[in-house]
Amino acid sequence: MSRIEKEMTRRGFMRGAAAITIVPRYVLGGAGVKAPSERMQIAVVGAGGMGYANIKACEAEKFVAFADVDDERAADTYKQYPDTPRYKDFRKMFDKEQKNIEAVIVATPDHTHYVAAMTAVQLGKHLYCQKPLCHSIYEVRKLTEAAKAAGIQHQMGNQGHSDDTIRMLCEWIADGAIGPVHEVHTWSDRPVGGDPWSDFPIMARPKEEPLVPATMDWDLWLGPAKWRPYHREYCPQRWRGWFDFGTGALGDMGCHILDPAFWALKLGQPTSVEATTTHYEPVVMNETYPRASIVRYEFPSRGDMPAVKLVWYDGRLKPAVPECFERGRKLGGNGALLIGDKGVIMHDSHGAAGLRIVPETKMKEYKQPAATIPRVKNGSAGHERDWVRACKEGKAASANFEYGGPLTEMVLLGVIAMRVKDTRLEWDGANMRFTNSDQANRFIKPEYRDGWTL
Amino acid sequence: MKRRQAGKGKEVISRRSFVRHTAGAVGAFTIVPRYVLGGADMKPPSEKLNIAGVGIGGMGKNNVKACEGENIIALCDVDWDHAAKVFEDYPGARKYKDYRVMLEKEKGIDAVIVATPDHTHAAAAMAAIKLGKHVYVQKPMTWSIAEARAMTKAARDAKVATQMGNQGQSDENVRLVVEWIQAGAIGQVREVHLWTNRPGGEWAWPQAVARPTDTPAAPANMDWDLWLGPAPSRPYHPAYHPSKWRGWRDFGTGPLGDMGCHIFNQPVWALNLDAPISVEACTTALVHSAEAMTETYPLASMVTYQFPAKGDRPAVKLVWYDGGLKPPRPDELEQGRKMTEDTGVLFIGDKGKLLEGRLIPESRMNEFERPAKTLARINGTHEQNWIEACKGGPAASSNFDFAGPMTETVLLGTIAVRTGQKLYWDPANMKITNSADANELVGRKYREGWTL
Repeated sequence: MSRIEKEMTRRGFMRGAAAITIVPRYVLGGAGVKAPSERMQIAVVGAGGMGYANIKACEAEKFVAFADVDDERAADTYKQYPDTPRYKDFRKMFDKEQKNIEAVIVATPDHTHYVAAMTAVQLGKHLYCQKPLCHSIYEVRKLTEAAKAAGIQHQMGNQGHSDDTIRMLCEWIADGAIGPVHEVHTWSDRPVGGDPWSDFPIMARPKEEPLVPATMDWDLWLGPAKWRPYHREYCPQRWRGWFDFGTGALGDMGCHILDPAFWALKLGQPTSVEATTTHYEPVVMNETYPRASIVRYEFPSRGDMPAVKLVWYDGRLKPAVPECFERGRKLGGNGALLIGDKGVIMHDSHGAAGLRIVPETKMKEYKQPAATIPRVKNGSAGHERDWVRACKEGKAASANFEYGGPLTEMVLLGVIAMRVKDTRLEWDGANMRFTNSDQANRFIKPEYRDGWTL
Repeated sequence: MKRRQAGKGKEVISRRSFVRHTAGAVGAFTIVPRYVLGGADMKPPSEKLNIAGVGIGGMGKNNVKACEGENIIALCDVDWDHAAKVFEDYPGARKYKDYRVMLEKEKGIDAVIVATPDHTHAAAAMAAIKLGKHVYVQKPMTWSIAEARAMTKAARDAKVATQMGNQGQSDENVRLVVEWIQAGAIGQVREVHLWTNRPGGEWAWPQAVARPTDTPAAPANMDWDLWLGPAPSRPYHPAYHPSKWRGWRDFGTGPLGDMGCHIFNQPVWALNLDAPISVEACTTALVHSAEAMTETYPLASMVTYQFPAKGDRPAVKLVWYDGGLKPPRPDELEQGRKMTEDTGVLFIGDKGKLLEGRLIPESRMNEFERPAKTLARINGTHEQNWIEACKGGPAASSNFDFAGPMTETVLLGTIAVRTGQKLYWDPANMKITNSADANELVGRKYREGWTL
């Protein structure tokens, strides 16, 4: 099985990407946004890698343009769509193909989400953008506001948000299944998950300067990030571990694993965040994310919901097994525990997959409430199509940016805390600043390289 | 704290006559004690002890130095180059590579310092104890729980003076912590956090690495087989010796074994902690090398112990962090004030918190009315404290009745680190009740030719 096939199986794609009934066109959103064609005309930025999986899910639509800085990485896509115009530079793609494009999928590395996505938004194109929405909090907030103002439809690529299980979790929590929740533990085995896509570099910056492969434009891959020589430790696959390009295990998996608690508990903005990490070698800790970290968030009380302490563990660290667990029951590689006054819920990654009240006797006794939150067709496998539906119906997609933006901000706050570790950072969400750390504030908004604008 | 009262009370015994009571003791004793120890008639000893050191190239040289007011009569090290400087410093001491030969030949030894790598502590110390020698053994007391249990019992039976080399146990600081907590300075304590940045930081050593495959020759002046002692055989490699053995499971006990004994003493003493009910660990992993995972300890770990309630004291959760991880920053800590990177202790009480020996915030410390100093203080060094015990003084501060059970608790955490599952502990039967695999690690089968 190829890597991409594995990735697709992992995401549950094989379960079904049946063609949907095309809804007739009508006027959507803001004044500048045209209704999409029956076969929506999609451009993809970052057409290789995860973008290929997104394309497969939308194959009933029409792909009108591709951009990828690396022909080799995008080869599978290009082979399948030999007639679609292809570009290395997404800016040139938009220049030339703008009139044909109705919607855009952005699946580049984290550090170039914003520049590509913002261009699409400014041109009034519907937008599907991979998670985390952006590389920095400032970018997230600006993109979220711009997308709203443009009246386009938008979806973040945390496909688990379209799953039935996350809706069930929301219904159970609202039903008081485990009473008020005051503590949440979440964890991921990344950056040392053991698979090529779940192992990130933890290292000093490479010193050697290998030649850039003939198929790729390295300068474009860097985009707004500070220039450095090409190295295979960054691309195509290993960028997630580097501060300048990725957002580490938390950025990668947080948008999946924190998603259920964020929704069900209506967490919103935390008041503080603090991290402790395994990092201590300066040449490594100034370049890549740590081998393991623990990030501790505090959320204030919300309505009749009590204050919540949320803890993130990565690098195979996990919370202690709760006392209510049956002997022998273990925590999986990725997952979450919600601790309520009256019980504990455990779930895995991607939506609230594997959702259970623990112990099993309590699960069996529990009378599940009626399904009141509308379901997305085909669950997480239907995430991209839910976006297509949104574009065509003019009704918001499940993980639209008004939800996905704040979720990403929460995740990125933890990423900043890892870089200013062992310090409780007090967060003023409304004003987008830490009130007690200038050092942390410097990570909210990146400095762009000449030629790129934020 | 439990204090062994050896040498006190009515029992009048010479330090060497202990041996007569010890099963398996061999050899006649030609030296007759010239003074009487213990009891009402006790006189200050005028005689110097005859001390031998085993494993003196590293930490051992400091221990020997602290004892140089006594007669250093024999020094033993498997690597004579590594120990060369120490040999030079004590020209009167006879040199050995094999402690078994040393103990056989040097009948005049009163007391032995053992500062070898962890995996040979027990074999060397037990040989000395069985001959009725007093022992000072570096921390952790042993490599395995079964060794700690056997050694504690053997020392008690032999009535020898013992001391584990966690020198902080002789300090003023730990006594203040115990007195304050027991006086209720922070109310009831239900949670304790301990941490160290090792295997990183100033004293870093390699972990999460695979076993070397090359087989360089051992240094000419070193006996590699003796260095291995009871551990399974493997070829010599500089990846283990000197000083890098701590990260290797067959030889060391990782950051927890190394630093745990330095800081567990605070909660163990202050909260009177016996054995835990359960222990569980989560750790980082080195991927793409399953072998590295089974050879060494991980680069970072977090170990959670549950101790049952005892008397008026509620149950206690104790969490250990290493590799740079730290507990949550307490609310009481002032902005900008840092928790130590190196090795720290945080007690969480229902009426306050004690961080690294100080109530927090500092204003609370300043207001604090210190309780009376009720615990006996120790004058001089940790080694000196042991020497006094050898000469009939009170039991040393970290004698094995205290250090043995504490070492067992620490080592139970290393088993959790190695097995990665929640383990339930039956201390009376010295058994992990829910995992046969983990239970295998409670003891160790010694290599042929070696006995405990």
